[in-house]
Amino acid sequence: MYHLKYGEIGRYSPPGGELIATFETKEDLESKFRTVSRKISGIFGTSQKFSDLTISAQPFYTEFNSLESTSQRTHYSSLPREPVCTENLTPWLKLLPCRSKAGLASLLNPIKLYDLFYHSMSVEVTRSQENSLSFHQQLLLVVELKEFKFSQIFGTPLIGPICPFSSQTKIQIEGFSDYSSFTPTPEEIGNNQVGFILKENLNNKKDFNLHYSPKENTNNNGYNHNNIGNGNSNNGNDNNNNFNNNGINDENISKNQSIKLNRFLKESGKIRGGVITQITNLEKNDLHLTLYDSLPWFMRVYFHTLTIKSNFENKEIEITDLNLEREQDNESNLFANQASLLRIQTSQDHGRPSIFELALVLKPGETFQISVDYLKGFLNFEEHPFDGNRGFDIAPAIVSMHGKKQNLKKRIYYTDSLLLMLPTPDFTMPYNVMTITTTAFLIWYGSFLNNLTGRAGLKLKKKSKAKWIIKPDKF
Amino acid sequence: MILQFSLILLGILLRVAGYHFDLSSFYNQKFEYVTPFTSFDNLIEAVHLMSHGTSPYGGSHFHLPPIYLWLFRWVDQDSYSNWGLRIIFILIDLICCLLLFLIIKQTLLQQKNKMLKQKLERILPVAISSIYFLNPFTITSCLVYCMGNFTRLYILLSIYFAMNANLVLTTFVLSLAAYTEVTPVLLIIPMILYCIKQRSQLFKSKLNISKLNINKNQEKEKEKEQKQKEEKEEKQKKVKKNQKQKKEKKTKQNNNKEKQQNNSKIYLQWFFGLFLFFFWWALLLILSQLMFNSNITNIKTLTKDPNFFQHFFSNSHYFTFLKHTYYFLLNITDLTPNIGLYWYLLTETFVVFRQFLVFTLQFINVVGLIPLTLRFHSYPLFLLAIITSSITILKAYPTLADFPFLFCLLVMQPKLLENTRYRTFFIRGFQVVIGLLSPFYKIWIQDGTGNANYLFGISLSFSFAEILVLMEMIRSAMIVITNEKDKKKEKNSKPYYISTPNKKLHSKKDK
Repeated sequence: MYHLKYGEIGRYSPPGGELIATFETKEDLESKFRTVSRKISGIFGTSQKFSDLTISAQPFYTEFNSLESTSQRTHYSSLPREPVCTENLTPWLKLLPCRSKAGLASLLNPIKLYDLFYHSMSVEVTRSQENSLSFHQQLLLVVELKEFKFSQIFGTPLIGPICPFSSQTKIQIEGFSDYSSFTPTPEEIGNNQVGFILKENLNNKKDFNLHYSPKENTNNNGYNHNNIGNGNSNNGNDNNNNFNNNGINDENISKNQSIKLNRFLKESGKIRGGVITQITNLEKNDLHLTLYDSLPWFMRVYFHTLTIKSNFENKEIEITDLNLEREQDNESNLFANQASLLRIQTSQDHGRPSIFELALVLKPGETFQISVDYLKGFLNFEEHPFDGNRGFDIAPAIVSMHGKKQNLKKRIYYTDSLLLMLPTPDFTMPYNVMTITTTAFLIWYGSFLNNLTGRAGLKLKKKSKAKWIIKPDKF
Repeated sequence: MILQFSLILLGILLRVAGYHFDLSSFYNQKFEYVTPFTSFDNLIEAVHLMSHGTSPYGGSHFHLPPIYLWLFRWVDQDSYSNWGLRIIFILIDLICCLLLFLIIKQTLLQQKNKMLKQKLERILPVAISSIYFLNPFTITSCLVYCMGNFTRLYILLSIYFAMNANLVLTTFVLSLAAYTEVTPVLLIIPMILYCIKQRSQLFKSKLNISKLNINKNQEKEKEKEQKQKEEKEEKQKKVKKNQKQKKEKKTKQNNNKEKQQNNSKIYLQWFFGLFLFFFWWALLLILSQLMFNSNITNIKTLTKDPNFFQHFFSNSHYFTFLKHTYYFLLNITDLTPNIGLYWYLLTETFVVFRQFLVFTLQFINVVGLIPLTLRFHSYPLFLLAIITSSITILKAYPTLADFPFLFCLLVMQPKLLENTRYRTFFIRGFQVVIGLLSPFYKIWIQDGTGNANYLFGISLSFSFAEILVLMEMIRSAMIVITNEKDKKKEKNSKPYYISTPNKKLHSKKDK
């Protein structure tokens, strides 16, 4: 659970790969998305082409872009099984103007990067209403620090020139106010924030090795967030280094955490099971949440078993059924009841996944437990992945907050991804099975023809006891 | 009668006890009775989706035609303990049992051997109907609310109506059976044949009575003429000869006319029967389509839009439910393990060969139809038994409850049991195989210690045993038929000997 451990900072992503595309019109989204996914898989060296119709879907009520409401024009796919490695980093770096040769990106060493607790890369391209493109790249790392020093974090200090194409190279550190313990001294000093602007002092070929040695003995064995973002149109390079204390300190958690998410499978045997998501409200106000859950088609979901329980009440919470369309959306109507079912999409075999979206109103301190039962489907032995006994990864559910007040930003939270074990057939048996079952049919045919076309007669035995047999005719 | 009544009561009591002690939740986990086609959970899901406003065939759960949605539109998760539903399923089994009883009683009336008849009349109807009703497999299928009970009811009903030579009702009930599952279509030919034979038998019994009266009158006239005209013997002889020739001509003409009339009647009946069958089927399909277009099933919906269901019909494309019902059954898309032959075969074959394999497997049903009708056209009830049993063995999603049904139909004529072989082998074999079905499933699915191959082997051997039983019955039927033919041809001749260790293959008869 990322944000519980490391804090709520930045735009993080679920395990594996995720592709979100919003189009201008509602029509023909599936073919458009197919082309987009294939092109992106080519650019970034991923297998996004597997995000076809069996996985991808449209979340109607979660808004990924906080600026505009996208309603039914977004298409979303998540591949939790996708591994991330240097082959994905190099095309990401190639999108930068100076690549990894100049600027802050020269700090990024793949050997060090993939040794961390958490890392994620993202590229976000948006076109605003004035037809101007904005291109936002983000790399999110979680580092365990022993000493706050660039050479410790990245392995090298910042050697080399700054990128001449960038309008600004900036390092920003949040969570610190004692600026005097930084070497070299920072230029910008803000409220709980410290900034370094690198201009030309690097061209003197002095190593920029940020060093923090505190005078007081504060609890600094925390996790360091390196949020490196490079923008390329009217915005400069921002490097945000953020500190957050460890999870031992509860106050800091409750400052940053608003909900707690958990998701797990309950299984009895290999065929029947259920998915349970738990949401707790850690804030002091009522929360308005929408839950989006998409399950693959081989989990045959029984929607009549969708139940919600709360720790405040003994009974199950009634789910009111709202067959609304997105066009008639008024936020106040969505959250009129405690729990309302916004949408169901039933699955199709070898087609689309099954989706349900709920709108929930959580009181402070309340936990909701949402459970759905399913029955696992059986796949042909060719449709299992190459490592069949590992199981299938299931995409995480998305919980998005809809804020009444303007203080709460529209935030998106991801649950854990799950691992689903399907009962596998014996992969070594195709020939055997075919021969054995076809012998059964052969015996059907053979005895059928023999009995119908032969002549029935008596067979004499020595003691003149006759026995009935059927012998085939001679033609 | 008392015995029959008491056995029926016992069966009902067992079912009620099973419901009372909540055995249905235990048996709901068993794969022998709960298949993707017959599961009751899927019906609940479909009704729930329908009340929500989406297509009931979404999620690939529900594969029955829409009339069952209308009939069970009040069903809920709580209806597992609803006594109305339980009474419906008990009634279905009861009616099947009574139908078997009546069918066997009427077939025994046509029995010619009086000694056999007396023996059998006491035992056979009660025995077979109680075999079906008190069978643990049928009881559990009743407890589990298995939706496959309906097709068995329809087939037995159509046999009963055909026995009473009611063509309209046989075709109607059989069209219901074909409407739920496609494969009972093949039963239309033997069913119409049986109906026509029953009708001709009824007419023959009427004609025999009328013929007796005519013959008596003719004899009286002959005596009078002989008394009056004793002197003119030559003239009388000539007159007699002329009269005889005229009578022969008349009888021949009458016979020809009767034959022609009978043939034309038979053709008419065939045409009428087939037309009626397809007419009823089309009516049912149109009704189910209309059901989707109207608000009969909407109880819990909130919208008041009249075109409510058309959002899941793309481009006003009608009869989309056919894809989920008939196409699903013929294509065997769902590969959950069951007692049938196909699930492991289709999981383990390459996807390239799938279409071809499915076609050949479904074609076996059709192949046997015409040769069997040609062979057994004079024994239509046995023909019906053979074809229903072949349909149930080669079903895509069979249940264990089909096995006693199959067996009861085959055993209706006990003459056939005389010439069967390996009876103890079959009895012990079925005991072993059926006993091992649930452990092998449990080993693979719940414990995780076993393999899919255990279940594959045991399900294959079960269907293999059913095939062997069917072939044994066909074999014994062939022996009985040849026995009767030999008796008809030459009454005092010896039976036909095939082969002895010292003699040639063919006997003297052929030469």
